[in-house]
Amino acid sequence: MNTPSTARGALLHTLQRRRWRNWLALLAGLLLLVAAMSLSAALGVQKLSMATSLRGLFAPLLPQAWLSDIPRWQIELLQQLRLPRIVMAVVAGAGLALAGVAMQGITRNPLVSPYTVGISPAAAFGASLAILSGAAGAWSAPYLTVAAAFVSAVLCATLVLAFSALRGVSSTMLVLGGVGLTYLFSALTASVQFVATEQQLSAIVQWTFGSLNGSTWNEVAIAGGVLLLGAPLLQWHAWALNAFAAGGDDIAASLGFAVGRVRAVVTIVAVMITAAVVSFTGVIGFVGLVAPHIARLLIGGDHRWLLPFSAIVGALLVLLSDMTGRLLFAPVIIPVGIVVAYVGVPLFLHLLLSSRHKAAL
Amino acid sequence: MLNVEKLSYRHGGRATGDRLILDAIDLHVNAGEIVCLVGPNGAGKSTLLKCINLIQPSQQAAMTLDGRALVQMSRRDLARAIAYVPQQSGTAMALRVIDMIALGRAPHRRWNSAAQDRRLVLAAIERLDLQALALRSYDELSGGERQRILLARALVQQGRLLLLDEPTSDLDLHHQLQAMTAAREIADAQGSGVLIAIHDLALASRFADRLVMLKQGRVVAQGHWREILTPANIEAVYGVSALIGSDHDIPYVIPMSHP
Amino acid sequence: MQLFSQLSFSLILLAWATLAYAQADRHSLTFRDDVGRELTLKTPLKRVVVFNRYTTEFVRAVAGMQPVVGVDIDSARSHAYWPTITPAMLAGQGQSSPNYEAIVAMQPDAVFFPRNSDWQKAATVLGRFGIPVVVVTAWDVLKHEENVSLFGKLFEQPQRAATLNAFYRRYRDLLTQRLQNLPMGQRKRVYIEEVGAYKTLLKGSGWHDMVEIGGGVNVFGDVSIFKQPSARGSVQGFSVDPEEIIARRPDVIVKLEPGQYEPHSRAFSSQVLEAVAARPGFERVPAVRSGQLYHISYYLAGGCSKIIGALQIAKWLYPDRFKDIDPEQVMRTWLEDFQQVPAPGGYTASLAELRKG
Repeated sequence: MNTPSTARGALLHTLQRRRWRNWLALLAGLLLLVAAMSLSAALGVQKLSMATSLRGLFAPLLPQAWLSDIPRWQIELLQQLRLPRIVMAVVAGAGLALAGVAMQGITRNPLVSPYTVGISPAAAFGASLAILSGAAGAWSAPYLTVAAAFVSAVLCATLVLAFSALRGVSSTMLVLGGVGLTYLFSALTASVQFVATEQQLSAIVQWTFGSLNGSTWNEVAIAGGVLLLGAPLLQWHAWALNAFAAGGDDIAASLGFAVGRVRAVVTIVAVMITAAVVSFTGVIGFVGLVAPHIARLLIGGDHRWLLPFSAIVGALLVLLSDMTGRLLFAPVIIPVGIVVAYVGVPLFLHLLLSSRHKAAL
Repeated sequence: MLNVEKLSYRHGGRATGDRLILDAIDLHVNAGEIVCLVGPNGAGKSTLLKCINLIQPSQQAAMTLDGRALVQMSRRDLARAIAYVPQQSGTAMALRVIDMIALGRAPHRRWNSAAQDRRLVLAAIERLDLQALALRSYDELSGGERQRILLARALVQQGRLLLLDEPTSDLDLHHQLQAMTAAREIADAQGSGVLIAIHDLALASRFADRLVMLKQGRVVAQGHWREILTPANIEAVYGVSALIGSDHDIPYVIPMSHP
Repeated sequence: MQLFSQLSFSLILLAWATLAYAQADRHSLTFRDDVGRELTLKTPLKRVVVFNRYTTEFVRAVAGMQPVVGVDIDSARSHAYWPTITPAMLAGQGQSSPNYEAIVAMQPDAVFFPRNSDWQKAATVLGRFGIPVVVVTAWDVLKHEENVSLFGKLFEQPQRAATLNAFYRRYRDLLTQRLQNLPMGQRKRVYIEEVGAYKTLLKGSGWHDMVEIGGGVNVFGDVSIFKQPSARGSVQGFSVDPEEIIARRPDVIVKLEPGQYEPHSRAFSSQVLEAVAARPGFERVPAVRSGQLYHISYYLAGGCSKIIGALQIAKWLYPDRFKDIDPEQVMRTWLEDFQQVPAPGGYTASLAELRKG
């Protein structure tokens, strides 16, 4: 259209402005994330200046001249201890938030989190079995725990999906099946705790707190890899998620979306990302449930924007929580799974009270 | 254009037992024609629309659109051919009105269709007087406003066949007229067939080319209102004796008493 | 007639004498238990239910396993370490969840609980059946001699108790003596790690005490988040920042093995200790540079109020001062003489030795 009417022109203009504003918000979020990462890198047992920490973070990419005044071991420290932990925090936060958005979208239920299909207690059960087995054999105990947690989580999700597929993969079946399996796996984990020795029990309980301590690059690579594969898949289905949110299965079908298939794919991706994260870090709760809502309050319910924004919100939440947990009672580390709620709830409540989108939930 | 033969739908519910909701319905809608489905509550009007749209699977039916069998079409092709406006969209999560309408373009979207999509969406907004609401959140709106938005979504879907389920039940007179006029324009301008399930007999008669009267899943009568809006039919279908008259070539039906 | 009354009289006399003799064999003891309750029990105790492995170890050392009729899950589970225990002797999951019915069915003379348990409830419930609850905290290293002496009196085995106390005191004094002229500034710094990675033990934990008694300084010994009294008996380790470990420059790293009686394989120890040494940034830690990383079975080292574990740590830290001491031998004595189980050997491993071959 070359000559739109004034009313249409005004509308177009507003739309254009809104799009620019969204891009800007996204960019601002990314910058904030980078700033938080640098801050997290600078703070710690050895306090470094921001400039030093930034240089150390990007050391492999920078010319030697820029790094000459930093001792070798400090760069090692940044690269091998702090950076993997920071990246893991970002991966965990973004992954859980994305999975949360996906699950909330396809079940049309704002109270749903990535753990709704029962992944969290299933992973805890797998881990507790591994811990119970004593791991005194050839297996390296940590890897056994990770593998067991992952397998258990995926098994649980498969059960839920298969079960709900009997009824055409409806959202109600997913939630109900997930609730049932949650209770089952919680009871199984409690049973394992019941027969564990005191040391094993303490290890199991600590695992459920969620922790980023001692994250290695291997772990980051695996979890990050799954996230990098899954995130674009979810973004591809953004319109489908909009359709689901708009009116449910009937409407989505009438708009041409293959309801059952989309739901299965999205659930599987969400489950894989969550399981990959949780197997390494333990159960970090709250992020998957609330980061999507915080993002929704800030940027609206259109999944094309909601997905990336939730990822950023989730990453920031976990990163800040990890920082707080590290510094508050140093040198003792408070597990990130505990701090996340303390950090996130006031923020969430504040947004709720001051929001104009009162009906957003 | 739309040809439905012997459509039956049996609902097997544990509580109610097997019930025959639709019984061997024959129906057709021609291009550019508005056909209104009328009948009492529970007659099966909504179910009929859902069966045609393949949202509800029916037993024994031969349904074709422009000669193509509906059941053989892919979901996407079906969505391109048939636009469906449900009775009411349940509590949706926060989505902007304009994004809600834009969903109608989903089956048509290609990598280079963004400009055309935007144009059609804006045109629909203008047509249905939705500029003020365009950037508001869907779940904050009233029932009437939501109905108009759903109609706009059907508009941009540009289907050969438009299925409307009670599009005017929540609207005031002004917007009732607007909605039905829009349906008439779609039929005329795009040559689409329009099938509307509607309660209001007068409104239906004013705009429809043909009426189809349903009772308990069966077609009792179909044709022009002059032929089928008779006291006998009204009593048979609705169970009331009514006063039927006409003014300016438009009928009115006023229920008087139970016979 | 007279013969009959004479016979019955002598029978009654005989019966009375037998009863009196049987009674004369039993004494009673009045004492205060660990939480200050005053109790009077008939000694020697012939049937006891024991909760908490350390208590059971002491009972076995002083009186053998014969009086023990009921144990908790830990003792019922490790068949190799407790060969005489049958599944029927299981008296409950642990000190916080005893099975009252089972206990009552065992008809014990007394039931032993440590103070970090639900002893109040147990005392109330079991009191209704006339079964006394005795609170004895055997893992409290400060009360070692008191507890052992009490057992000596309760089971009427004063010699065995004295022998055990002498055994303990000998090594306790030895440690004190040989370490007394070692100023704090010269004591080796120890980082003690639990089974989980980066989890250490703070003041209030018995393992912290073991390190300090052995002459080491726990690098995280100055940290106390909550002022928890050692009544807590904390098993839980606290996660610490890896950077902090590096910054505190421990001379020696001691890692606890997963708890069991049988020794872990050398391959397992090698794998674990190498993994610790290979942690990012750890190459700068003095302990890693000198290869002084040790794996220790806490299951065994905790025995006899952790004195043997402390001895082992002292030998690792100051090999010259303890050249003549063989902790492995002391452990053998504890296990074979006092615990009456074979000593498996190899309850510790050192990275330096493993690397040699």
